[in-house]
Amino acid sequence: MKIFKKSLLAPWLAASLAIPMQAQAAIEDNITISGFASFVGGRFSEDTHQFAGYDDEVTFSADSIMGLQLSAQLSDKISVTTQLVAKGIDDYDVEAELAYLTYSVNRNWDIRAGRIRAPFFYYSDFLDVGYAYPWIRPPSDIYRILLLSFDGVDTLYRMNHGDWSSTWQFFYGNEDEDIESVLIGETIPTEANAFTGINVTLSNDWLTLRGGFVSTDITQGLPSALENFYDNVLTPAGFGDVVAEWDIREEKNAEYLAFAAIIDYNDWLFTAEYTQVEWDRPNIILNDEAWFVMAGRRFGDFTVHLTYAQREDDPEFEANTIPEAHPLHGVFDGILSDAGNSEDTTITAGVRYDIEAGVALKFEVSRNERDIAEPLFPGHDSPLDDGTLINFGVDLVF
Amino acid sequence: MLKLKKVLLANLILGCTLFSSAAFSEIAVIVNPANANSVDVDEIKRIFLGKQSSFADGSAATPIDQSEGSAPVEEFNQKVLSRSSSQLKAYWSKLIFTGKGKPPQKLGSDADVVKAVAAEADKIGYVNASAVDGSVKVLMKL
Repeated sequence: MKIFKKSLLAPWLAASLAIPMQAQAAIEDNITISGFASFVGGRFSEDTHQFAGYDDEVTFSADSIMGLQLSAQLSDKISVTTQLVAKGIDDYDVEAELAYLTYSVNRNWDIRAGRIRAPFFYYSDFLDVGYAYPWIRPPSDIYRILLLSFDGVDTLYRMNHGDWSSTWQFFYGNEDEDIESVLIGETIPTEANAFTGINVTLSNDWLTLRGGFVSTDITQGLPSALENFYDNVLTPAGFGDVVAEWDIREEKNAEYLAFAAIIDYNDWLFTAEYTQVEWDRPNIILNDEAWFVMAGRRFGDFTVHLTYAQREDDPEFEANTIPEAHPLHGVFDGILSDAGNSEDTTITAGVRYDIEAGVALKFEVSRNERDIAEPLFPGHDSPLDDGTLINFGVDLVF
Repeated sequence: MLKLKKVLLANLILGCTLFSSAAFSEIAVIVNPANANSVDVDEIKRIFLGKQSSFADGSAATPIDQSEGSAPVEEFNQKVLSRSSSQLKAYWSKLIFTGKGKPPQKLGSDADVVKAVAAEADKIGYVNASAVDGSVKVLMKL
């Protein structure tokens, strides 16, 4: 009798305890939580302008960030992922930088829909994850595009070729964003339509090569000073055709081209990337090319690195069709020269110390020089002073 | 001359120590007995780094890692992946936070890995050689 009762009791106990435990385990198995954080302080030597978000007061907000990524596997084929990011520069307001659904066609082919990082260049889609690269931030002269993500679809396809593997990404979408320009201190409404691109990453054990192309139609608000000049000076003076040619309030097509090589061989590190932005009509800002080279060496838990970065505008003075005799010709040339005619070079030396897996301390010094790319007037110097930025910080992933 | 001898001696001692410790904690890369593929070290590396998802015959290859702190992890990371745990963490964080890859599932002990590999044909794992039993096939010992 006793035995009978026990045997009756056992399944009941198992049912009441084990099933909820199994359910719990199933949920835990299917949801992945991961995160990253960077706490960075720094100071720039000059008070005339900011460099990489720093001025001559010590600040901790420019590069500090915390992100939490949640991923739920709903079935063999379907998962959802969201990344919530709080940035010091945005007062730690939480924003969803990523929010997408993944459909895995097979184990080498994913299709994603939702909010996806805009993969302009090699580091673009993991810019926020400081732990993943040696610097405090990838060179800011190259990583100059403020559009961070787009809403749309992409597809990731992975292939094997002996010792090599490749990843192919195609994407299409659009994005509306209010871009806060630190340089001019204004918020610029920006609309990127038909955001289309492809990138291919080819890698073996120690070498990674990447090529990427993005094309998008951009419509953007103007900084107030330029808007005033276009609408209240040039147009009334009869140069509406010049305004129509230059104005980015009317849609312009932009093309972004990038090539990168990344080497990690026997504790030697080498990275080079070349990037270029081109417009279908003349454009004042971001009509440029930029590149960097980095060499580094790992010594146990320490990594030292040295980077040379350069960005050069391509000012289109020839597209200033205001007759040279007219005084506004010189005024417009002056604007082009001040706003879209600089050559920035930055040399960065730094060290990373991996205290333990998942925690890295970093220290680096950057020297930034700004010159006029093609002086409008011989001997015309940059209005901005050269300066030195000192940064220290800690990066984590968990 | 004396200095040279000392260095030689030190190397000899170091060499012996390395050799004996390696012999002591030999690890075995294991697959399901139904898996007839031959797999070399470079392939194992690619499979565990998420760069290759198939065996030579085209069937799925699913790696099973061990939790950090498990005995064979450090050794596998060094000998097969040639990367420190920090380097691996940086490597995977790039893939995880871009949604371009997922690290292998991690199990807590040799016994769990043997069990998982014995259960499914696509699994590949590594354990202390002493933990291997007849339920799995040893690809290679390191």
